[in-house]
Amino acid sequence: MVRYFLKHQWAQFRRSSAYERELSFTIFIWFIALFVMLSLLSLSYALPKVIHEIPGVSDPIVFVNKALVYYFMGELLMRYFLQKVPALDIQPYLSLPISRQNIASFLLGKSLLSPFNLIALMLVIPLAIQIILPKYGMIGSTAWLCAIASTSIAIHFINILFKKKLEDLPIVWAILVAIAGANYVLSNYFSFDLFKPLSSGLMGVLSAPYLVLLPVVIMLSLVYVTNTFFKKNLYLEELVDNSENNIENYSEKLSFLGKSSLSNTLILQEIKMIIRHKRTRSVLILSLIFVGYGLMFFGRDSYSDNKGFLLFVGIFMSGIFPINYGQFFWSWNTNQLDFFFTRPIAVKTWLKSRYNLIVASCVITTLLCIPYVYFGWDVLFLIIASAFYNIGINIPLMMRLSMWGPKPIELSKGAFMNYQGTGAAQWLMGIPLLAGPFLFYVPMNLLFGHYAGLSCVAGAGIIGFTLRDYIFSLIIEKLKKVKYKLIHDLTL
Amino acid sequence: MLLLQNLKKSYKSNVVLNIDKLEILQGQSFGVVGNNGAGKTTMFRIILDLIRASDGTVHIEGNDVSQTEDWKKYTGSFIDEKFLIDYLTSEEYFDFLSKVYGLGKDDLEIFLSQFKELFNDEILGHQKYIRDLSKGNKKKVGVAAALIGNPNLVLLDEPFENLDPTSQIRLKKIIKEYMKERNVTFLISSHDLNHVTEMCNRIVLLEKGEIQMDEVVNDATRQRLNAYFGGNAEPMSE
Repeated sequence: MVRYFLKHQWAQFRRSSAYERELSFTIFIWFIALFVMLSLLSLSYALPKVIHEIPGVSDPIVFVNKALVYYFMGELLMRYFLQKVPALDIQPYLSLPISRQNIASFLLGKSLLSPFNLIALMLVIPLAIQIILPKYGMIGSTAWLCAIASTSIAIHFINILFKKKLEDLPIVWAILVAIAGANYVLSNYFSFDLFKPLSSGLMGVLSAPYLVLLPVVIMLSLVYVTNTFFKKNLYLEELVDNSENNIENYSEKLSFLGKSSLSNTLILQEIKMIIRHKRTRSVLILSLIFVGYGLMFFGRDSYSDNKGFLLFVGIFMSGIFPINYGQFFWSWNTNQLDFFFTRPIAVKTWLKSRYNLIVASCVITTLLCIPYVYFGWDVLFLIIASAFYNIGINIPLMMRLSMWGPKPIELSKGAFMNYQGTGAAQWLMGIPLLAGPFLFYVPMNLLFGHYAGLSCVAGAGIIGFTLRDYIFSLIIEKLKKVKYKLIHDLTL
Repeated sequence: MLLLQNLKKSYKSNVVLNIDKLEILQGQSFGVVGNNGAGKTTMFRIILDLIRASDGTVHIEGNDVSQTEDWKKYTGSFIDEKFLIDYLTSEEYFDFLSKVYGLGKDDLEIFLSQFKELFNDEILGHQKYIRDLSKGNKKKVGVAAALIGNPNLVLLDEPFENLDPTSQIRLKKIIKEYMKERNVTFLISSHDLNHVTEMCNRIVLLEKGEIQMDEVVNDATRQRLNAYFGGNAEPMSE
């Protein structure tokens, strides 16, 4: 039976419509994964040296065991955000005479194949060989590794149960964060460590290897619980993601938008689309995170000679939402294109309202960036010049370029490691967006200096903004021609 | 009202639609029947300018659909779920539509009141996204949305599919009222011959993209259609 499951899974992967189109991306992702694995291995190889360099570490083994506790917390978080819960499209199998145990075991087994289960071991094996083996011998270090592996797998199952059962309870998250935060404060200021039993437990495994039974038993009982859970819950409505079924009400607060012009109603519509889908929501969150991007660059001496590079940072900061969102400008509406093309909404109104939305995002990010003035007025000037350029040139450019090879997107899937809708076109699009401002900056910078360069970039943006109606008419002209292809290409 | 001239659609050498001329007059209710792959949905999508015809033109009230946009104001349509905005609740969706068509709040309420029976308290007031509605309920929302804004022409693809018998009767009543009182032209496709012969006064039968039969519905129509589809089902001779 498992053979058939595997066969079907492979067929599902191999024959999905996305496979052929996105083959190059799958390969790209695998390369990245390989790269990450290699860097992890070299990191773990270098760890003993790194630990010796950290000041105040007397016994590296104690330190590692302490750090591991935090690593496990981190692993839980990482798994929660990045790891997919195993899903086999079980509907066709449920009506067949296949025992539930069979399906459940397959789901469990499949979930174990995740690369996340390797990370912990990969990190500690070289470490064990280098510093633990000489001191505690074969049995001690094997037990230690075994304990770590069991804990990691236990976290894996906790994550699955967590996602299936508790995801809707933000309070759980609040508690976890509170525990971690409290422990940090307690251990730093009151020398009381909540996690001490855990790390001393790991230390204990080294001296008394039979203690390894404890994490192993915990892991096995979690396997049992998850298995029972799967067996009991192999019903469609329970395994599908229910968290999306709740109605969100935040957009009600914006309903004043819907009371004015049609254009504003369309903006409201688009906002609802953004906050009601996982994929678009993550774009939004990512954009907010990127406001902090500048902290990595501004005020650092190493970049002060190379002010041109900072222009790139500026474009990225105020433009991350336009870039991330605009590259899929048409794909977002995969499921609504028929609607928009058959209702009496002038294409121009539709385009303009969405343009205004993106401009608003740009303005908001720029306002959020004002605190960067801390690093000097020139930084603020740079950010504002980039924002002008984004509004005047990059956004319209994005709208035009996104007609080029669009791909359908299922909005309900998360964005992390999700490259649906991405093709070569979407990557190439980034080049003119990021290189464009330098066309204006570099010549002026060479002739008259940094500020003249920035003014020229801002000026280009302002000119683009005043010409926006003309640019729209060009885009609409083009849209008339590619409309049918767009509808055809964006059909899932 | 609606005029299809010399309309052709082909994918490479495969012709999926080939109509010399088809004219539908205002107020006529027009049924399209045909087996799977006969070209019904393709025809609808070309009329709505969602697919580019390989050749020929479609005019609605004298406007070429691929050149103008005015026809959208008086053409309602529901072909499949992509004609909805599925991440909205039904209320939000109708609100949005009323904005698009410039209806006031009262107008919308009056409009929706006609569907009270059809909706059967399952659609409005439940705070549920359209994507979470059942197939039948999605269909009800879509058909109602096709009738908003006083259309002259309404295109419905399989409007009775997935509806329970009571809802079918209620929907037929609504459509008939629109036909009688507002003289709205309907284009309805269906696999169920009973529905089309009941609802329409003219029927076109498509086969492999060509018009096989085009007649005003009379007592013999259903028999002839039955004979056609029955004959198709017989094993081929020779």
